[in-house]
Amino acid sequence: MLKHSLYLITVLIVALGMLLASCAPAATKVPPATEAPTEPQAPAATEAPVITEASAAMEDATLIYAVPADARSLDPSRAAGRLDVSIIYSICDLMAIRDTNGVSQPHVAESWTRLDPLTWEIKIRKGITFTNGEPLNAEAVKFTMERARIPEFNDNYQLPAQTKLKEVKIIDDYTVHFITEEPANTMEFWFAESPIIPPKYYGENSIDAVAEKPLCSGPYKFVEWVKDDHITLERNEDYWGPKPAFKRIIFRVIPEESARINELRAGNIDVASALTLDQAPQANSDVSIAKYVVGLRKMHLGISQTSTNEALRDKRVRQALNYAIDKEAIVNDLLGGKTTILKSYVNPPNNNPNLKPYTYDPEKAKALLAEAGYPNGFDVVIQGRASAYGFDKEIMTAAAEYLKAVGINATVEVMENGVYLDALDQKKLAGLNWHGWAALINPIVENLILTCGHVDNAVDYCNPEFDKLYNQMLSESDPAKRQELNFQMQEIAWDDAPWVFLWHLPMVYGISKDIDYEPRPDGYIFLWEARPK
Amino acid sequence: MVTYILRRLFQGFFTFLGVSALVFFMGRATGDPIRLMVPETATKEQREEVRKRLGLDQPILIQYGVFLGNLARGDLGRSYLQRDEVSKLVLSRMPATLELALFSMLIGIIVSIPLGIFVALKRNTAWDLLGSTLALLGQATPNFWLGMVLIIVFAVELKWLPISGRGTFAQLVLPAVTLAMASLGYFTRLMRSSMLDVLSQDYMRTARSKGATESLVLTRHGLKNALIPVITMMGMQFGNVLTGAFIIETVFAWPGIGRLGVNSLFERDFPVIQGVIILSSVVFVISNLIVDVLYSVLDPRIRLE
Repeated sequence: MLKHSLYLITVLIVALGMLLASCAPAATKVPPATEAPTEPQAPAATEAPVITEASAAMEDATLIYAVPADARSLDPSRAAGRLDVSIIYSICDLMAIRDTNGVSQPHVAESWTRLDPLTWEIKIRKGITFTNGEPLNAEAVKFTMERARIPEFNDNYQLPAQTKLKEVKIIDDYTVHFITEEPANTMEFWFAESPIIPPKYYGENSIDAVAEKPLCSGPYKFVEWVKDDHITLERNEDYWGPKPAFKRIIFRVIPEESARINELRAGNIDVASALTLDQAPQANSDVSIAKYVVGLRKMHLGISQTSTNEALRDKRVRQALNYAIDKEAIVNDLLGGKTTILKSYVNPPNNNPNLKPYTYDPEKAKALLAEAGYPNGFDVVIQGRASAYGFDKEIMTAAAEYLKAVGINATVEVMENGVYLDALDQKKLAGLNWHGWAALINPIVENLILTCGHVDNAVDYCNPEFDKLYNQMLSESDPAKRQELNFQMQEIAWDDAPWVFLWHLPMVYGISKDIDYEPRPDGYIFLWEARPK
Repeated sequence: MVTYILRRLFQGFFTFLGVSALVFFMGRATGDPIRLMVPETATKEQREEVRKRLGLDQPILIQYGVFLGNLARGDLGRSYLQRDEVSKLVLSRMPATLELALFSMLIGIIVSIPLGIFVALKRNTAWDLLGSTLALLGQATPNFWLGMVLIIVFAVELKWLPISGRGTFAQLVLPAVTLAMASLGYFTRLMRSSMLDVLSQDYMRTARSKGATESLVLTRHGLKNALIPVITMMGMQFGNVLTGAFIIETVFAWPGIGRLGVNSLFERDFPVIQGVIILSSVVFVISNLIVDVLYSVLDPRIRLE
């Protein structure tokens, strides 16, 4: 046994050793790769590669992007959720790329024509090769769509299921026909969610073998995935399109928001994503700024049509709820004015510009309530989660206060995530629910969720007139006529007010002053667009 | 001894079977995981297909039967969300948590034993008050708050240590120290009271009257006996530390099993929840067994039946 004093000396030595060891320089960015220089770009493309300013200044730079949670899957047929798909869409080439107006622009699909309501002819861009040498051609497209049909993947890779794709016919090496069972008016939308994968690599290897080693043709190549820690991508030097500016991208998993902000301020990361509005100002520092983006998610209070609360079934009551809440005040005071009020439940540019806004008018609200037979108000509960979107409790409380001011006895019920989602799924909501739907630009989906009995129609709103127009829109091939029907549906549903229409969900990012990157409103992370300043 | 160990392991098996049943049924009572798994735009047919594929449309007792059958073959199933085998997932995250747990235990032991002895010897002096108060503070301080304060002071302001992540030794320091704080406080106070108890024993007086030096009395007679309860408690604490590091792992972005377990809870990823809890119960059973055996080795008066 050691003597007492010897014990103390040992402790001191160990403590000193720890202190010395820990004084090693703090881990910063991953040092630039020291591997041999990559080969010059293969001149295999039939068109000359596009030289941009970025390629002229191609540095060894690394971009570190911090996310709150790890990706779930990097199999292109399985990837779902913004982070997964953003990574896959950097590694793989999509059939089309969605611009910020929600329009699908040609990419792998160089052009497409609708030959008849059920048949789409797609011309595939020539000269794209996967990084293992396989060519991206009609066979690859057919293989991709068929692999997506496997039960394993069917619920994630959406194009075949959503468009009711019956068959992919190969016409020649670079032409395919997509044949659907019913007219698929959303086909172009889904092109922008369809990465194309190499048939041999994904066909000849088991699902498990390739699940964590994606291989494709896109601007970046997969390097490694250390679970729950980081994912590393490296620039594809043989890419057929414009070369991205950053040689390496590292997605670091940092669950705690304050840690993301601290790392940003310390200069250890370049982008801190998923910041909340109240912490956002912390992202402003000597080396970084907070960037606010008006997102696409439509925040609202759903008004349950099937709860025991009968008052909610009267249209006048629902409109009264809309007039009772001062949305501008909440946006300005709580959300720092960083977002816009909803003009419709359909996102621009497809919103009907002639809808009458529900201004803040408590007198009108009281009048409507009296007309509906509730001059003394009624009881209602506002259900929601504690931290789904930011300031959740504050917003629900503020809404409750506005309702109380017009005589409605509103209470707030905060529910656990899974319990809330169950109630949503089973349409067992008890009154109003704080939620955000459909962060996309696609009027067919945005209207779908208000049709009778739809699985996401949590409030169970049902108007046969609305559904009639919807079915017409589905089978209408003329885009102009579809838009007209879209506008008509909005008039009906806006007036019916199945929701208290609130605002677009604002998103905040902390971005290093050394990089030039505009986060997208739809939340996809397309880092090939980022460049060092 | 060997029969004792075998019997304990056998009992442990039933414990862990009971735990797995509990977590199986409780997990499924919390609600439907499908919604959390599929994209927002998934159709009703797609959701039903997922439900069928994962076997969630079967009656619950049949699901349990399938689960037991797989368990007998050592198959913990696959994560609903990641498609990885649960055993692979859980085992790949163990090293990170083990590293954190072991290092924080080491800090706890190295600091609390001498500190506890010191304050025991200096009983009722200012040193004692200081030491005991610090120990109490260590136990009482919420560890996520402490972690954040340490990050602000040592990582952000002084820049001596990194802010988060795992990889270098420097990144291990702050999370391990934070995790060690609560055990440190507890063990210091335990060491102190154990030492005080021993110091008042008759055999200590006997040893002194035999003419042994004070340091010999303290170490050979005092310390060895005082350490017994402390070591056994440390053994039990190891199980706690191993499975309870979730908050530290979140604050410091440490990719361990605590985070895996809690994230899977929120996402209703039943196979992973089961895997993590089953593994934890195995760790507890084995560490308790080790502690009991150690106890009998250290104290010959204890006979294991």
